[in-house]
Amino acid sequence: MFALGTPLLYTVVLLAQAGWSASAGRESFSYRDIARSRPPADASPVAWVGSGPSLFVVHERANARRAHRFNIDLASAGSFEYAGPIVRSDAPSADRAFRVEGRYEYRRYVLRDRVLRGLDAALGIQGIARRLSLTRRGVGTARFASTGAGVAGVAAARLHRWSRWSAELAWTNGLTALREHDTDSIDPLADVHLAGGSWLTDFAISASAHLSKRASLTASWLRTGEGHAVSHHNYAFSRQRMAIGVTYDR
Amino acid sequence: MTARRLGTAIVIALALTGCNRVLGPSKVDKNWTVFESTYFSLHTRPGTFAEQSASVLGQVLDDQYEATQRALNASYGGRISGFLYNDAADANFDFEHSGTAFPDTAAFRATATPPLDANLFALVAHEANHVIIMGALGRGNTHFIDEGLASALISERFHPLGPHFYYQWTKAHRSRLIPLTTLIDDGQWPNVDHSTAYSEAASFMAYLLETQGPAKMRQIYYSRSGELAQRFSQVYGRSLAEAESAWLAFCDGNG
Repeated sequence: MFALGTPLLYTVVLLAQAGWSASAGRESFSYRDIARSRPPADASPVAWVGSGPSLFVVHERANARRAHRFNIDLASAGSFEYAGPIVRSDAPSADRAFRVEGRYEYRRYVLRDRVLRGLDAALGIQGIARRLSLTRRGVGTARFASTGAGVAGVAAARLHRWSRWSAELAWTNGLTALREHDTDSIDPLADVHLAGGSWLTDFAISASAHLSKRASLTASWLRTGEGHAVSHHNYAFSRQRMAIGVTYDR
Repeated sequence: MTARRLGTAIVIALALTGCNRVLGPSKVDKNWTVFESTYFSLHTRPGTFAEQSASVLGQVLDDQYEATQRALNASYGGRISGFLYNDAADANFDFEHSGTAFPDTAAFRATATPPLDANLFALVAHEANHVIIMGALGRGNTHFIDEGLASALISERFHPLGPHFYYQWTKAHRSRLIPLTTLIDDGQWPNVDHSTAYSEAASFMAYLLETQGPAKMRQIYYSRSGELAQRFSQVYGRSLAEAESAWLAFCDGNG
């Protein structure tokens, strides 16, 4: 379930280093707890939905056939509400979500200029490290933080037929192993460490317009679906992000 | 289907459609009318038995909401969304008379099929209790306590399917009871007879609350499966096996 309203675009930090780009935008976060994980997942009809700023930085080293890409991604969400199919109600104002993630991707362009001049298809593999923390205010304050590491496969295509602009789409699917730490101020005994796993699907589209020989302006849209299966705590969440940024190529 | 074929099918499905399409939650339809009780927003399909029964179910659930907090000596201020489906097919459940709860988002789903009787009242009360209990106490960590407590706290104001029913059930089903050491093991919980496991857990948790009160129960509530037996001994000053014998004797006298 996605809950992005009209996205607000933020301007951007320019990093004056070769092969770097920085983007900022707004990201929505939508969470549903799951009672039964086996497909089809039995998820809550009500979602805990919030949004907030997002920032990500990418460093890429590439040639015509392959690319190494490093990505750091931060996002924070607040202003949560409980969104059902008919009824919506505000969640406590102290509810928060924070996410930080790093990825390394190795990508090979396996088909170049085959179907269309300037169209390349790529396959890649990612290593992922991530941390998600949620704070939810009820009778007490419940916090849980999951830390994970995993791998993902990437299928991507880029179109760079014209000198002024280029576009890319990427579809990523992966699995991670998780450690989760739950606390609740209701009772110190609620402090537990749990283990589990997660899956993710990302779909990203970006387009770049060259501002000069080395600098370009990039707009991107990302939609994710993710699920965590942890002992007595299964949930799915989705994110949707619009961002704009600047890339500086050496 | 063998495990290998199933695994291959899952890998192919993931490759073709993505993890989210296969493993992610489905969208929620909007074909609902909403009845607002004091503490619940009850969603029902328009023109159905559930819609006609929403007012009565709201009364039962509002009573349950207050009774559970009294019994736990704890408070919960959230408003709960209940979704009452026509039948198992409508809810995508495997069985009729089923329900699931979603404490993090203060919601539950359940089938609401005629007649409007104690079985239906107990079903929605059990699912609502999951939300109220986790809202008031935080997350439990064993199936035995989570499921047992949700039934042990069912109010007997509108129907008899509360603690005394479970004491009688225990007395009447002594020969088929499962050892508590098996039931507190989360690894074994999925493999035991669920009807017996749910009723037995409810009976034992109701006994603990009635004889020892909620304060001690809260000290074992957060225990994980592997540490529950030891924690139980520390809190109650006797082993789980000794408590099991005392509980069975209690049910013989009160059932």
